[in-house]
Amino acid sequence: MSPNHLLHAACALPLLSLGLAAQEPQIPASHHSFPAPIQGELLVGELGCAACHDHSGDWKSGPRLDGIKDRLSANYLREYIARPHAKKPGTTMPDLLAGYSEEEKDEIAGAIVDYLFEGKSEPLPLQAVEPAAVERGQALYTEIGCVACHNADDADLPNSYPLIGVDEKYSVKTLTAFLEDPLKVRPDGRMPDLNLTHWEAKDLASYLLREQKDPASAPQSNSSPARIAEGKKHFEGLGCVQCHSPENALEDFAPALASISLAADCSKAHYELSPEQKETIAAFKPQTHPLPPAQAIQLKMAQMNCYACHSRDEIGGPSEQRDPFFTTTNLNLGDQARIPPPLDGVGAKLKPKALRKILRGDGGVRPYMKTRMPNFGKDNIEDLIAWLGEVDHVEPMEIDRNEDPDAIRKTGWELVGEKNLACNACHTFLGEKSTTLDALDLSVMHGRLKEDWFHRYLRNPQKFHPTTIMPGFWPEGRSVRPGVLDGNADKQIDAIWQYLSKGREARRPIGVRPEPIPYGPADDEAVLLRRQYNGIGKRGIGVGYPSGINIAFDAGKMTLRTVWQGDFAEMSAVWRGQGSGFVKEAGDRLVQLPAGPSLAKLPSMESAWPIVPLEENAPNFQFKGYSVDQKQRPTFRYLFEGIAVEDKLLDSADGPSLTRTLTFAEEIPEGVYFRLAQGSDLQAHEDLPNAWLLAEGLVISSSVPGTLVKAGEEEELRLALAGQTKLTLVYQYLD
Amino acid sequence: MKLHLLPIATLVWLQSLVLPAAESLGEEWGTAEREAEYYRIVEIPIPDPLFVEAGCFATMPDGRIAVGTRRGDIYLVEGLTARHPLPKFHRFASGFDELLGLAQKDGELYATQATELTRVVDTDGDDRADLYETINDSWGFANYHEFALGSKFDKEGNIWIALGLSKSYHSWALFRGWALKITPSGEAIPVASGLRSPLGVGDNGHGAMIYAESQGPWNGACSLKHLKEGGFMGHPISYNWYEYAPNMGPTPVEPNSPSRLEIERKRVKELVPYAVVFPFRRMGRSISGFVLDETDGKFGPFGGQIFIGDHTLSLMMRATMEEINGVWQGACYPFREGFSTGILNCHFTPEGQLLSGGTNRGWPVRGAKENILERLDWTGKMPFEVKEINVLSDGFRLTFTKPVDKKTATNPESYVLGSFTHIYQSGYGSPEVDRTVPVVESAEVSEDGLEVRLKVNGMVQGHVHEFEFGAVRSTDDDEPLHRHAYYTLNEIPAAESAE
Repeated sequence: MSPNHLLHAACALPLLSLGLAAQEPQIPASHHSFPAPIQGELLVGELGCAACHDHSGDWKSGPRLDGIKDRLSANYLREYIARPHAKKPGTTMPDLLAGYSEEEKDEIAGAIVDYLFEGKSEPLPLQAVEPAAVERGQALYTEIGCVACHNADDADLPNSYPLIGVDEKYSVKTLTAFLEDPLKVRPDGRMPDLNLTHWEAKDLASYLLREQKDPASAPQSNSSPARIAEGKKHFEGLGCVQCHSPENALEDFAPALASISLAADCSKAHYELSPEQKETIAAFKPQTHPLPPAQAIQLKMAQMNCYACHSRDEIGGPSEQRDPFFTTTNLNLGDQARIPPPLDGVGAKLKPKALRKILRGDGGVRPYMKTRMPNFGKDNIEDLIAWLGEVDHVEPMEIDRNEDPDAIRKTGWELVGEKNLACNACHTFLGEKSTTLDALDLSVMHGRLKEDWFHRYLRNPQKFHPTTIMPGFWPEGRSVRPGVLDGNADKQIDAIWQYLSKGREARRPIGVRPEPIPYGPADDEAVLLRRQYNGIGKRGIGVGYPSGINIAFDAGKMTLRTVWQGDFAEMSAVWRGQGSGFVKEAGDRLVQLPAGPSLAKLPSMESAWPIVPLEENAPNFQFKGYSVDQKQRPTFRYLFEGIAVEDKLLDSADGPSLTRTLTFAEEIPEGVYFRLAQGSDLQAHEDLPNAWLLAEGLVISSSVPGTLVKAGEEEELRLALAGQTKLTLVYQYLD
Repeated sequence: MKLHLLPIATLVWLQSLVLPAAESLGEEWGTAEREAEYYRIVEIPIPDPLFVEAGCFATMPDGRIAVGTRRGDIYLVEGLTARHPLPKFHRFASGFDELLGLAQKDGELYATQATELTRVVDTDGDDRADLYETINDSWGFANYHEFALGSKFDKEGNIWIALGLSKSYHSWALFRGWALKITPSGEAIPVASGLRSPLGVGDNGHGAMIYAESQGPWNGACSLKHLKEGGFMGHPISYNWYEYAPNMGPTPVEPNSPSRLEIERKRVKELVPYAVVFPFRRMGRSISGFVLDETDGKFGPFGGQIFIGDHTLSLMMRATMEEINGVWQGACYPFREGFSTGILNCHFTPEGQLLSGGTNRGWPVRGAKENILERLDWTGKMPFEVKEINVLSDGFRLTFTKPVDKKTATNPESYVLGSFTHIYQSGYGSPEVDRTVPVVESAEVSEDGLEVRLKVNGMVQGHVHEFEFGAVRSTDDDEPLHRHAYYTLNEIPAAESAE
């Protein structure tokens, strides 16, 4: 250790007492047992050696510094630049001031920061964090995959990228902005974009800065032009540009790696390397880039730390210590539901377009997995997609396909459904579960998978996934459904494939029953919904009352058509698909009152009641709308023969009953009748006057006397309204 | 009842069998990443347990946005315009059947739903609607698929309602396939026949009412059509209602099939040529609700233009229109892809952000999310785009958003033109036919560098003219954000004597 280092160590004592020690640069994937050339490439790449020496290959660059003065605390940065390994043990940023005295370090770092923060005098604003946001942020941090690369609270996870000093460095606002789009500042994809909403990013920032005191009470920068010029000179002379602004970097800043001895320490940049890292570098032989694809995949996956979550060729996957942080919302699906999929042969499995989507964080096909697949940035993935396609290539399978792919879809549909292979028992269809399982949606498969792989996988899932609970339906090539397509495995699998090719437009498999969508009063207010109801054309108006009585009114015929008790409605025939169905009455004791208009002008009481086709409006009527009271209970308004009618329907607080008051704007003329009910078995109520007992124990009482009139096989209960200006009806269920 | 239900369900099922086989949704434009630099999509969080399948929007006098939904609610939303919105949703009214039109006047809402046009009023000032007044319901409604699309108020205070066909193929109920004009006194005046499956109706920015039509029988592609009063919009199945619309005159002559629109418009004098044709797949598959940019530049350089969504492909496009020889025509332009749901409608917030929403169920969509509202914000950065194409007697004028580089822009080879039309036929859709290659003979750049006059040899009346101008550069060496635009040439103007 140089004298400088001794001093440095002394300065760092308070930090050491907090458990922080100068540590070698952390490259999490480097603990895997890669072949030596990959290990060397990884170390040299992640230390950014090529930034100065070759400027070729794929290396980890530094964060972009555009906008840094609005993003970070100058105080933090001064300390960090002066003594990076003390401030942030494990950082891959080299100490470029190792050879300078302590005073010089502070002086140079100060000048660089003044240059970078030119014109910025206000410190970063300190923001109070909300405890609830901290709590949500902590849940996100531990669940969505941050812990795959970073250390967790109360844990000591080896091979972590250090997250030290974050709360001295950022404000909640600027860390939120960083987390929303990390690729903007770090385009090399080492810190990928987790597709956080603004509010998630803010929660996460609140959590990470939960103990923040004051990130920067001192001014950001306050300096003279001379000072700024000096900072610029250092910034350029020390080579900061090489990593932090690669587009402005000098290609011949330092000799090529191949031309220098790697056994000696770097003359400019001090990395705090471990003895093992020094050995790796000493033994490193620069390769010709691009590497052979198989190696290139390994290197890329190590650089991006894909191995933290995924395994491939027996390398990687969650470590024992990190395993508990990979969780799921559906334990029934087994480990596959919580551990990101292994990537063996993934290039043979997924279409390049799907791979691209996934690597951009837009895969999203495993809703049960809490860890998120992030976006690694469009500039960092194309090579990988091409290499995977090349390396994982398998010889195309001879597939005995069906002749007419269009015609065979129906067979595929039948095979998928519950009477046959019941794929829907585990797999969802457009998000609908048939059981407690919600494995990969049937609608996304064709868009992701290669046909060849699909055939191979279905024939023997265990070969691909020893722990999968997916059964094999074609053991040794023999179908468990020998009666379909002569039991030909290829043709059966092809039929399923053709069925799946419709994606979201595929016909719903038999056995997938959409969840009901209940609808009704949520509090003491009624709900009203215009829609098509059973027995009413299209101008139905349903009303669900909180007291447990429900009606459907026909606004084409001004008639109360249906009454039922209990819950109001089940909406899946209306609020799913195109909405072609009818509102389903959810309760019981349903009674349908006569179709057709309730009011009619007739030659006599006994005349035949007019018939109006179901979907047509009754002539001589005009619906005028309705108003609702404070409890959302309606009063319908309409014209009958030019007479304005108000038809108010109120429930009762005491139970399932409804008081209906029809108010006429003028006295009803001769020959106008109201049809109250129809049936073969209408009985006058024994005790109540002007009351009749209908089916299901529904009693209707009327303020106007009624007459039973023979109408075909049945009877109709009619009221003569001549001379009336009001009609009151009570609909009540007997207990 | 059961007996009645069965035939309807069977019919719907049968109909699904005769529909053309679903096809792949087609390739994306691939421009989303670049578009995001200029126009950012912001998701509007919807609080649980609300379900918002937006079908229409209106701005209230207090600045709140009214959102009408397929499930029949009207929410008044506050705080929609914040950079990171976390808005409050207030259920102002409910109970409607497929809301697809909202207009606001004096704080009252006029809601177009499947059954009727309804005036929705809060009479007691408690910020909840208590009066739902039927303004007009004089159209037939006999099948769930018979949607009604309502406009905002026109200059005379009318609301225009476009009525889709029965099951999108027939006209079994009164005025299905017609457009009606509802006057301020609530009277319905039939204004046009021949509609098929409208998904948006409104002003074209020049005082003419237009609607968005979908590809299908008699429609080779989606198009914006001028709802000329007395006009016929191309699909003759709704001729049966002329006797109910004496103001419309006698029933027009039946168009021949297969034919060309350009030929039939000479035979069927009421036939209004389709004003802006959207080439299928390249420019959407079901164009939907549209809105005019009246944001005073808050939304960027496209002031006065039509912004129109597409339901199937979840994208937003632009359109411009001009009247030539008494006929409306114009162009459509790609604008922004990557929305998350099937867009039904869009609306500008008071801050000049483009709000959109829709539905993911029932019809194929690329953006498969449900219950989502999104907002498109201009980032303030100027995209390099062809802003507008206008026809000239001997070619076209392209107006750009930024000055063009003279070298690339004066090179006639920087512009590749093609022309085609569709078969006008009773069968579903049409291939693009009668292709020609008009040639740009010269390209002349205006002094300010914003306009390029193309002299074109081989313009074809009645054809869509497609433009590819990817080789043009701006003076700051920007390449066009989108390389294509499509002009529907119904009429060619006479040469101006001054020229």
